[in-house]
Amino acid sequence: MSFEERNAVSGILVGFIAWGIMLSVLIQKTGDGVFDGSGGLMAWARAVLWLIGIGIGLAIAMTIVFNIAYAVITGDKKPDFLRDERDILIGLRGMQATMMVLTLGILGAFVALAWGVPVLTVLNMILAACALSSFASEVTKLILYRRGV
Amino acid sequence: MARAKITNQIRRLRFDAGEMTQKDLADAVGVTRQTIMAIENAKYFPSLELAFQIALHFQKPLEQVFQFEQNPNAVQV
Repeated sequence: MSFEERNAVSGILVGFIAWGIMLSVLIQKTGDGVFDGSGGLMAWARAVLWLIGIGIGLAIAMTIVFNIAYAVITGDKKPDFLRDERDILIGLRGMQATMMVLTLGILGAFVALAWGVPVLTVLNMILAACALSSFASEVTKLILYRRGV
Repeated sequence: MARAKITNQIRRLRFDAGEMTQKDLADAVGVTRQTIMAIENAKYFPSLELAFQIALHFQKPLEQVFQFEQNPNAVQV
């Protein structure tokens, strides 16, 4: 497994955990009425910013742990961190998947807003689209690494 | 339109070069071992630059390393 392929695998795992935590916290807070009232949107934005920060920290830590675990399990004392033209091409395909899912998600959110769905729900939809687009990117990359470009 | 077939002789050339490993070739041309493996298994078609680098490494002309078989159903322009 190349460095970028390992990153795609860890990205899927990290995505599940980080986005799972983020969405479950937001759903719980929404249920508790934390985002109700006039300052609700501000509270939502602050919660999301905190959770994004925690998510980034968690992603970095888990990627390091994953790469160490991979080196220990495979016995590879000098793991390769090279990124070559195939990685760049697959990365671009992954980005295409991100853009497609994100565009559809944001478009869906606008449609929902036009149909009278509350703003907070629409914002959560956009956040979910971000999570899905990130997941789509990593899955696309992993498929291309396995099946071929 | 079906894809044109590109084959290569990298595996045989590695064997002829004293059973050179995929890793050795990868290091020589600056890519990962997985990329060499993908090229050998026709799961990735390298850029022209990488193809020339591989041919240069084996000191062979490009057409002795990579072969292009045109799809007979392909439309000629």
